[in-house]
Amino acid sequence: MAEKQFIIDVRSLSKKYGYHFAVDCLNLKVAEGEIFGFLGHNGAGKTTTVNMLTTLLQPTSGNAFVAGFDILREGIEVRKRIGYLPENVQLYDSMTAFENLEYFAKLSGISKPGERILQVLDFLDASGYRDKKMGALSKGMRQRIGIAQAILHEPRVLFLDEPTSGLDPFGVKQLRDTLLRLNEERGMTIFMNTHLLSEVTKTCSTIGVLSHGKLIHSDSLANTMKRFNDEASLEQVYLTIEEGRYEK
Amino acid sequence: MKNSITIARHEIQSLFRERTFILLLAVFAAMTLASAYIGWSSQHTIDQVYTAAAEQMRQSGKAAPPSPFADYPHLALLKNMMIYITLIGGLLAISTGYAAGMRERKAGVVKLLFSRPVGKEEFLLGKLLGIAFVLAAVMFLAAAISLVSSAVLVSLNVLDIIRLFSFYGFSWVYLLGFALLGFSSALVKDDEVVALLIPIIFWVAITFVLPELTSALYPTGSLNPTLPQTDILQSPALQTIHGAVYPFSISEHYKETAATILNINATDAPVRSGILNVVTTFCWMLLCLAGSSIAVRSFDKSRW
Repeated sequence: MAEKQFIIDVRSLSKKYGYHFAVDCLNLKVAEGEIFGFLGHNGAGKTTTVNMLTTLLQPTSGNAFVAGFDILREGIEVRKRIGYLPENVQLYDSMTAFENLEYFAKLSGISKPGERILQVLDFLDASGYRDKKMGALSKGMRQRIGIAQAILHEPRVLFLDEPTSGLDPFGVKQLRDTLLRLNEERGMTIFMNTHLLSEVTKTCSTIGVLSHGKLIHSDSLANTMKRFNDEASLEQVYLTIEEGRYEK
Repeated sequence: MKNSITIARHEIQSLFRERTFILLLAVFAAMTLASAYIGWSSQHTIDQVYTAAAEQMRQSGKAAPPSPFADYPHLALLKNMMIYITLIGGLLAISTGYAAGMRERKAGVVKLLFSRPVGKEEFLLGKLLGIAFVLAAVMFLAAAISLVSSAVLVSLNVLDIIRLFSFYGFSWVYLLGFALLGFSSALVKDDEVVALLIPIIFWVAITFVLPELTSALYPTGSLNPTLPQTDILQSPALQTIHGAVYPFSISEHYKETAATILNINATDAPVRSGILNVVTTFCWMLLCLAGSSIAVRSFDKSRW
């Protein structure tokens, strides 16, 4: 059997602010083609982890490899291979969706991005918004343009930080469908920070649970569920894992 | 470099969509347009007064002396421009630099931008190129307006045109200093108000306070702020203040050099120190460039 390829390989990664560890010696592996749900309470260190993996933040110690590149020494190479969607999608409000996408596409190395932008907008069912100014778009639409920005250059890994935050149920469903399509049709690995457990069950193949900066659980969703009785909801599973940490 | 050019183009596009910038640009353009007419009008009034006085002398049987204003340089009608450049041009430059430094922070796109394969230095070089180009475009526009409006009022020769474009080129160097100051301040200061206040304080000091301690000490300086013609400083205290402050009075150096370039001090007293004027103005711009390099180095994208 072929050895599993890990597209994200985190080794003893830590981030310290003063005396407080936001992320404490994190070890984590994510296989290529997975949708990884990174769960944790508010302030657990999920966003800090994503910021370090996307090279936006320098770790205090440890290292990580994303798509085979060192986040400390090969930041630019890492960034060429990832897409990133922050919690609140902000783009230049005075520019149209197309102009924003064109700018980010050029910065991603696409010299003539026009056709590619149209394809991506079409894929996301957002073609009608191409000439609308970003400032005039709803949260859900901004989210879609944000995803378009993140996938324009066909990244191998897509990092999403609380992508469903502030979206209405319709927006959440649209986002879920988009992520599943990106994963199935394009084989994109998706690393998603979330605390919406319902979304994790519908989207993710593997989960990791972070609590107070430490990874307390990491396994496939199926294996995680197997460890508990069939009737247990993910919420119960999550709370049990979290409580287990406190018991230790 | 490719990314820097993309960023510079984006910066240019964004600046020309900003209301504050457009408003200041419109005021500056209007003042530039008015400048030639104001200069011509005051010169015309002086000529009329001379003609009337000469006529009166002739009527009373006396010979009128030749007009001392007959050989006034053509570009003298633009002498107000150097005042407008220090005032509105300075504000326009600060606004340009500040907007460039703040844009990503205000738009909230810093994280998104640096998740792309863009280096910090590449990003900031792009910003600097954008600022420099926008200011150059503004100076070119002003030069074109001045050229057309002056050509309508007086006849300009080739040397006048060269002088006019050189004047705006030199003004670009002077204004670039203010733009870099605004840009650096926006990069390093967390508080947006403080970030704007710092270059404004510099502008006030350079444009108003230091000249008060230098050229305004000359009584004729207040009549013609570009040329402190009569050296009648007698108080040792005033002379000491003047001597100590003058080398740092950047706007004075700028105005005196600009006057030399436009050749409008030809009939008046010579400029006090031509080389010092030029060197100080360039030093000012280079100092601001060095300041922005330090700001770039200390720029921490994760703070935003």
